[in-house]
Amino acid sequence: MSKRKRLVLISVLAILLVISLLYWITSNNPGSFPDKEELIKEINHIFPEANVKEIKDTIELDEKHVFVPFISEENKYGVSHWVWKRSDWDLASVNTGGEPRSWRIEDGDSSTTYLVWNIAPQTPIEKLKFYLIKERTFRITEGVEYYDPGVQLEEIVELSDTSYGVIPLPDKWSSILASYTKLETARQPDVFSNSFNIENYMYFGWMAYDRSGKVLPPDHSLFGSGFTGGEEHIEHIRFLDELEIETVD
Amino acid sequence: MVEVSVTILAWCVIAWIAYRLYNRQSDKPKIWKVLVVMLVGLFSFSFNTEIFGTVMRIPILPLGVWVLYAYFRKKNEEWQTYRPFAWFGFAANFILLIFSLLAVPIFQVMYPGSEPSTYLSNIDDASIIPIHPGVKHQEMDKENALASILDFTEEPMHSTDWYYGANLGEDSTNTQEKFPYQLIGAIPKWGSGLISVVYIEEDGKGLLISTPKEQHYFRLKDSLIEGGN
Repeated sequence: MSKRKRLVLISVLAILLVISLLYWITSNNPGSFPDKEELIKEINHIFPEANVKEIKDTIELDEKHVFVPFISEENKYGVSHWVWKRSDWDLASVNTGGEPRSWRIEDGDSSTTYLVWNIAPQTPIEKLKFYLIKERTFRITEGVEYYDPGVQLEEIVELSDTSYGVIPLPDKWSSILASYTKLETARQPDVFSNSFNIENYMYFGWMAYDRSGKVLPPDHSLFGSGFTGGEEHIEHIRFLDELEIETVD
Repeated sequence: MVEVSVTILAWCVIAWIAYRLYNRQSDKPKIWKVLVVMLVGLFSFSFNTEIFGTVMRIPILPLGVWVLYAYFRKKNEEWQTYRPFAWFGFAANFILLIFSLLAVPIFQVMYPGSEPSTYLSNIDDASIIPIHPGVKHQEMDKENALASILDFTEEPMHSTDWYYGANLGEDSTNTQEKFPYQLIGAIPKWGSGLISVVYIEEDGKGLLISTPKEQHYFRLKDSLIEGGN
């Protein structure tokens, strides 16, 4: 190889290296979050039905995940979820209803789960109760007995003046979820059948209470329509009936 | 841990036998070629079966040896040199199988499944979490817990009674979970790699331990809950 050829090769490699380094830096370090005007424009462009009038707040869950509650022209309280992906802020999900949802921002790590909501102040909700539930089960196969205790954990959130809110999953919840995830993953026959999904085994639920401590019946004004991108773990939380909750006398 | 050390031991034995085979050869082939032949020879058609609760690979057809035979078809002399290594590659499957069979009783002696101390060996970061309404938060009696779990009896499970016994009322208005606590953060015996979920009875004296394969129910003489005795 002549000296010149070698020089050309080295400089090409150097340029490629610099470009990929720049790309890596820009795609891994989130750029500044769009301002409220831009957010409204983008949501209404992607999902015109949302018809956003006002962005209530932008709440950073971590540097790549932002929760954005909004109000529509029709005074509906909606939510949107933004994710930094491939050097851009992506609208991962938008919904015109702000009923509670869970958002696990890191796949497979339940301790990165947040419960988020945006509920119209007109609804007479005083507090929310969140539940982590595992059904009690038993089985007897070939004379071998198996018993799985029922789990029901409760977390009460008093609604403040703001219509929206974000809470991280309580530590106890995530350590319990992690313990089952570990056990059930070990139960899979091999690494290739890694189809275990903790959501099929345990679930989140919620109920709403009014000022007098009465449980609110399902209120359709809370629910809306929207879309969620495929990759984000944004899940509906089951709206529970009082009879589904176990109590002790 | 047992599995890893037994596998390493098995490979040492395989290497040692291969070394003896090599020394016995009159004309020495290249070492890297011998290694390649052995690796190809290792390749086999096998079926998996469960023995003593562990999945074992039983080799049946020496596919690798056939491949090598096809390759050396026209080079008879070379084949004479490499054939023992090709077959030994296949035989190595059986050495690995024998060693993994040996590992089962060793594992059971080192980490007996029917003793609570196998699952709870370090409780420094452990805590008791209420998982059902109706029980209060309780502290674990850490000072005495490791001694308490040594004084135990394994009891038969009564899953049907526990399940139907939970519903005291007509509907769900009065429900009592037989195991209303979970023990979080306990570490199993060093090197066992055991994964388990541990539930505790209301009195702190009953342990229900779920592992990926089975479940154990232990009753202790003393409670794991502080002030439970």
